[in-house]
Amino acid sequence: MSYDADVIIIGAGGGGAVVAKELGELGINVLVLEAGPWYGNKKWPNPNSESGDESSSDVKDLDKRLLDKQFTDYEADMNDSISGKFRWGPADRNKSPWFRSLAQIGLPWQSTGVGGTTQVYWSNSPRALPIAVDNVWPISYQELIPYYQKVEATLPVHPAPMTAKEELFFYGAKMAGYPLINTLNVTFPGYRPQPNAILPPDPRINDPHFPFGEKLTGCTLRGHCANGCHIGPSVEKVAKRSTLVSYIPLALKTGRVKIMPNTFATRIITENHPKEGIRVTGVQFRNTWSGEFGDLKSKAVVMAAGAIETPRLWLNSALPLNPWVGRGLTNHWFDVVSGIFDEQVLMNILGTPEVPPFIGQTSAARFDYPGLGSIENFGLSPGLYAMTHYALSQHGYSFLNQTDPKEPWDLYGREVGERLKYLMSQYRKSLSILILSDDEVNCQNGITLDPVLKDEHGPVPLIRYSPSKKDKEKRNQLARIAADFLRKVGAKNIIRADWPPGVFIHLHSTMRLGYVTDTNCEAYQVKRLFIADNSVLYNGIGGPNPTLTTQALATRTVEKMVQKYFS
Amino acid sequence: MYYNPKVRVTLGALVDTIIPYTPGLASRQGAIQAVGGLYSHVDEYLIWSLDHLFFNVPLASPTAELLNIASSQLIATGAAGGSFNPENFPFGSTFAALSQEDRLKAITLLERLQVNPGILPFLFHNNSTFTQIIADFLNRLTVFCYYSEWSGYGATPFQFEKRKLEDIPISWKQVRYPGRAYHYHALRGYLVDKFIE
Ligand SMILES: Cc1cc2nc3c(=O)[nH]c(=O)nc-3n(C[C@H](O)[C@H](O)[C@H](O)COP(=O)(O)OP(=O)(O)OC[C@H]3O[C@@H](n4cnc5c(N)ncnc54)[C@H](O)[C@@H]3O)c2cc1C
Repeated sequence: MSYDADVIIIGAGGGGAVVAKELGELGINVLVLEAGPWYGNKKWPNPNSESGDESSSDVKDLDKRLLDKQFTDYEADMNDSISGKFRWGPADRNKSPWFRSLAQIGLPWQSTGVGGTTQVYWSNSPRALPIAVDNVWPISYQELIPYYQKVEATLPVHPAPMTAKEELFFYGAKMAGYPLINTLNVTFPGYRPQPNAILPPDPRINDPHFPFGEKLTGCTLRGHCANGCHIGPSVEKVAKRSTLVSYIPLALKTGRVKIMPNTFATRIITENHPKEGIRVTGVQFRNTWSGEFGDLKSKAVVMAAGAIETPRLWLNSALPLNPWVGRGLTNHWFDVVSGIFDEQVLMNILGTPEVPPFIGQTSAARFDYPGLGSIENFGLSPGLYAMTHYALSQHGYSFLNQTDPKEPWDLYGREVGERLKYLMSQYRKSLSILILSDDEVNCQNGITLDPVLKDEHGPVPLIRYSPSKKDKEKRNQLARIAADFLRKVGAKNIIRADWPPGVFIHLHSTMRLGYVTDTNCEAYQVKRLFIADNSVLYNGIGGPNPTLTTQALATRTVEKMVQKYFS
Repeated sequence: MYYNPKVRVTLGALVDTIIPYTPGLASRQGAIQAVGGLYSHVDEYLIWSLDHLFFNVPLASPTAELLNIASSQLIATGAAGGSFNPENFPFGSTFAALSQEDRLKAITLLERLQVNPGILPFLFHNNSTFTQIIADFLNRLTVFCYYSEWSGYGATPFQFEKRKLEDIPISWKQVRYPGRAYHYHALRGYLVDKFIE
């Protein structure tokens, strides 16, 4: 039998890119199928208007000048959910995005393209909270540590630098009575810099004569993490370590990895093998420009299409029934609490009258509370800022609702009209805090196939998520802690958005380890089929941002897979 | 951009409610604060977005209809507080005839599923979740568009591969956002130099 590759990986995002690099380094031939475009690659000089080449496997194809041109720093151009370069949809922006059905109000925020959603992510790379893993997962936290270390060194991960907004956040956490913690393994509540996968700024950055230029390596604190970082001398040295600039170049350097963008996997192909039972033999795909279908054969397949598309692909391929496929979705049920400050208050604490949200790494300070979840500061460009703070609420228009005088926020819900414009006029004097709740796994939540709606790749996913009473309590407690930080540093107004549960920024545990896969992340029911994205996480890891854990687990999965099938 | 005037007036009224012209704010905080979303053509953005969101099935027109039906119900139940002239609905838009506050109440009726889903137009007909999703979407998109760079793209904002940012959006001036930047001399040190195991 002839194979197109030893291993086919579906998806070049947070998890898939790690698998490609690790396999390539072990001498395994890899083919990566990625649904979206490839920015910063010479073979696709106009990735959104021309189909370009079929694949790239040479690190010399990477082109920083193209990336500079394509990552424009403009938020509508990059992050508009319908036409933005980072939308969930095909490369051709004249086509509609790929539709997802929701059983509720909300917004699934994922990106196609090489790098996947890490193109927009903020690079916060904390480990899981040990209490969410030990005696909970089928593998121990201790077992994950060497893989964490490997990913932390590869990306690499560093303690994030402070700018004004972080200093204010830390001051609030300290005034609220919490300790500074300097560990990677968090066992009690405390605040610390984000472990960020961002190359640190040059120490001379504050020198007004410092020659910033194209050759400079390191973050320049310019606040565009979410709109696509392209700061650095070459693609592989771009400051924010999305997999587009970290694991993908390393994968190409192995000489074993070929990546096909604009290639949507539509079906997992299996056979019933006399010895192994049902096992994977290849993948059917569709080119998103030409619409043509094709088949590819391999000895193993890794699904890394993200926590929505991996279960969708399983279901659309009619793989064996497993009641946990697509089920158990956790999303950290986010919320946003923000504060507005008087200039004098900021002067006293920071020595400057403003705390601009657009300066510094998008999120560089965090607070973890084992058992409740996490809190982090953040700062966004104004369109995303207005949307996330004032337009995203399950509570309706704030002026139509009473605020509970016992709660620490003055405004609660959606803001419009003159008040919205007033609040936005205070943008440069505002501090934003994101709440990430440690929500529990519930098998009612997750991904099924829409019974009616289909797109060119089959029935579309239907996403359903409803938090538990306990999740709600945890989130309220975290929101009160965040409000307390803000009050302690003298915020004049405190505003809680109250996001609906259907906002999906972190999505995990829809193909859970131990339920859909064994502890090597190989599917119980389909041999040689592995899972290496957020979907395979056992739970929401206690509240911390999930990508590092997915990447650590993916590193481990490669080791197990090679031991079993390729040694 | 030409579009059915009733649809345009209805969605324009929505934009003018979410991001209104605010001379009062301007008198307190400076003239720049007066300008609102209609000046920046956010209504055109909203129409385009609604028409491209869902499998290329145009949604702007049924969405305008949705707002108008909710407005009629608000009036019929006597819940509309503001004054309006029933003889004079701009291009037949009930929604646009309402006061800004009443328009938000009409949207709230949709969000709370207090409008009979059986009388709603195609796609929203007996589909309360989709109705809620679109109501939420309207707010979100309007606000995102207005405060993003979108209004600076000049005459061809939907030609994605050709457009250039020609003007500084008024909203950026209102919030004092300096736009894209390459660096800030803003480092305030490190709270932790190295994490420990
Ligand atoms: C605004 C924002 C900020 C975030 N910040 C952080 C952060 O700071 N830290 C953190 O840990 N996490 C963050 N996240 C979450 C983070 O992006 C995800 O955890 C991470 O990208 C998940 O990796 P993944 O491999 O599961 O999925 P993805 O990165 O989404 O990758 C999946 C890839 O598969 C491709 N694909 C899907 N279906 C198919 C198919 N059928 N065929 C071929 N290809 C397919 C997709 O196009 C995509 O490229 C953030 C997310 C958002 C939206």
